[in-house]
Amino acid sequence: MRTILWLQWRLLRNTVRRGSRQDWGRLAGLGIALVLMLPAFLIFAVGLILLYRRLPSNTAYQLLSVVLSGVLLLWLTTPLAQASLTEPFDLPRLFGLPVRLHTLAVGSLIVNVFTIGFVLTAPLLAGAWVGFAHLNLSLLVNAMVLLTFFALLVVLTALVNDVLDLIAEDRRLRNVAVFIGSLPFIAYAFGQFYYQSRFFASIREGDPGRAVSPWEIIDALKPARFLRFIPSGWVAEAMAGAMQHQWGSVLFYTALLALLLVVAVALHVFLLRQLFFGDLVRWQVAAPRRSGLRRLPEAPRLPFISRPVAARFWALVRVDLLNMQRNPMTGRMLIAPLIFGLFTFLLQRQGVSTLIPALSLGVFLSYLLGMNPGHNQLAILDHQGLGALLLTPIPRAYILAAHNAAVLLAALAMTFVVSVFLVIVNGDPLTLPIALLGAFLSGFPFVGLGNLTSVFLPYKVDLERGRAAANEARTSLLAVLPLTFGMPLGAAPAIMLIIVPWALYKPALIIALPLALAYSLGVYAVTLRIAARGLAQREEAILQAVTEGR
Amino acid sequence: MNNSWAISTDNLTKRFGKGASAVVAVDHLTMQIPAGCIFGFLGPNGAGKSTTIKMLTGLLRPTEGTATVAGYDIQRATLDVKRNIGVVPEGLNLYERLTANEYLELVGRLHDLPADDIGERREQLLSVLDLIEKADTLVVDCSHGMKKKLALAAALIHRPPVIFLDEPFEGVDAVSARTIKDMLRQMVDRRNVTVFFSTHIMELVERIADQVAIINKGKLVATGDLKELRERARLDGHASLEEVFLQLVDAQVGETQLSWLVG
Repeated sequence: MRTILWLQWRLLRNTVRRGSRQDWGRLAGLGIALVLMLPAFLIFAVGLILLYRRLPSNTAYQLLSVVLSGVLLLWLTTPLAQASLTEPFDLPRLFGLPVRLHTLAVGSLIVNVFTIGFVLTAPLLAGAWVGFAHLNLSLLVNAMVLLTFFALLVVLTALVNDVLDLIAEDRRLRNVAVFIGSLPFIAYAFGQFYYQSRFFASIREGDPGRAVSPWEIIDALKPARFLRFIPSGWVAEAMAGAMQHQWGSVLFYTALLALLLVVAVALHVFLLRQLFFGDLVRWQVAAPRRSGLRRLPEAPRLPFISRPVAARFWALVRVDLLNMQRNPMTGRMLIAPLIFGLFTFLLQRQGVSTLIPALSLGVFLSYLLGMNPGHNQLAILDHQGLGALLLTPIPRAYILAAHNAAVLLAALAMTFVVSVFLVIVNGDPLTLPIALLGAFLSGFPFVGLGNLTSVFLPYKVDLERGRAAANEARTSLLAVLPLTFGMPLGAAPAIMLIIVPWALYKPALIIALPLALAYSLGVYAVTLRIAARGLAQREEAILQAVTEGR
Repeated sequence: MNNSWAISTDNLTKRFGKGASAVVAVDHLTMQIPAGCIFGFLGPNGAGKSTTIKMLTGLLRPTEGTATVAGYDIQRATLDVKRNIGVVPEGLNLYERLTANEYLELVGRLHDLPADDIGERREQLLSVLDLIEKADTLVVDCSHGMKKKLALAAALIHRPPVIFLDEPFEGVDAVSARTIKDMLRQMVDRRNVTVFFSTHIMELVERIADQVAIINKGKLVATGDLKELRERARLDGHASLEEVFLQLVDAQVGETQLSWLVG
């Protein structure tokens, strides 16, 4: 056990090292983050203590159940987001070494304490204990309940890690896990949106201009009636019971927590045993058997382009599209248009503003701009595949243009989904072509900028996990910053030339659209030319960066 | 089962999945490997080599059959098996944010080695494997070949009597490869260590292995020294291991289909 703790400490310490040296940049970044975040959470916790003590007891209890549910959600999703402070402990790496199963089980629980969840939520749990400290016995009972809850958080996080380890071998199962993991957030976003709008209306009845405090909303919502079915709600029930001397309720909910803790520990040990002996879960997908190989589709004819050039370009686009289709990040990003569309639909139904569809389109196109360069660098770029392409005599501009075409096709598909919602909302069929044009014209200059950063600031990203290796975080930041600053120059004019006339004076589109088209193509042509030259000159450095992780 | 064998398997089987869609990765494998030999384990891709190694090293539970490694049952005494083996697995699975020094310290500690021994042995191993200058470099910043050598150092630091190596020389430079081969041979000759290794490089097996087993589609096709394998394949005494291997796994080299390429 001492060795496991030693391992965790070394992994934690080495997060601020690079190669054989101290990485002062990372150390400073970590220091700044702690200096900014810890006081913020401490202030938040102190504020909660004051609220718990000053609010009416029922409101304080409702607030407590919401805060604890937030804590639970944070702990459960931390392993999914892989936001632990250190390199993951990753139990399977120890399976080949002589370590007892029960040592691994206990060790995996102890090291789970070293997560971002603990740093952020310990003040909140301590705040709940202090805020609800009313008499000596309740102090003791609340401490016991909160400690049981904390133990449960640690075990549940370990369980999530177990499941992630079990499915680590299967890309499809990983995608399913990420989708399931995102469901609570989606449900929370829509639920909060729905209830907030509904209760604002009921509270303000008769006085539409009146300001509404969060406490009125909490009182009206009574969230604890739903949250009492999950462990965080049980803690709130037990603590409220202790405050009101309802010891039967305290006993019942504490026993429920303890029971769940025991079941969770047993399940953790069971799953760990399965992992330990290699009984991995595999999703047996029976691929449709084909007799023989499929014929490759013919390259489509492209206007002004000769057949051999079109064939080469099509081959590149096709492989990029296949790569994108099989990349786990694509599926995760495709959910965004549905969320945007639904939000627009709900906002419009409330009659917040007639400009909602235009605003929504603007926001979505901005989101696409944020996604496109990221997708250009992270998702489509098959690093080994790029290495293979650079060994061929294909013109470098084709490689970049094909990536860009695939990205733009994906952006257009996503915009189409959002546009359908917008047409339903405002009944204006012109919305569809305008939105597609917006995505097309604003996307062009931005993927051009993405080309420049890909070529001049290349970095390696773990495609499966969708993030840069720890040592590359600084480089990835350097790659993102020029895009952020380039956005106003690159794409904003094109967006403005479409969205503004569409929202304010539609006839102006006759002049604005050709202008937007000329601007977009001009920016793209210039950036593509520079990037293609850069790609030809920097091939060796780029290959080293994207295939060796340096 | 005779416990004097370094490694012994009896009808060892691993099936993935159930029913008609089950895949038999290793099919009733029975073999005995004496102590003090270098044992080459050969087979085409997907033949079941890595699955066999995973079962013998306690990382995968067999569906059927039994096996002993260093005298310990792989299912009943998994921990004792792990104490007595060194493994360089297919996927190296190193902690990338430990330095080479720290990783060896971790493995030494988990094998309950005294701190002095860990310090002394890791320095010697890193020197011999030409890693001493990278001793304080994070594993993530090492090349693939360096990681392979580090995994080998970790497999040897506790002086195990049985060593499993999965593609041990892949990515390793020629000088280090020669050093490793010499080191393995000395361990076998002087300490009666057993080295079980899988590779695709026939020449390597021919040069260093005392005994060879060939596995195909999960089944043991042949085992013995090169002479015995030649006899089994009904080839003359000059046939190379590659010829023996191709004969035994019944490989078809499809020249006729590649007339557009070979002329």
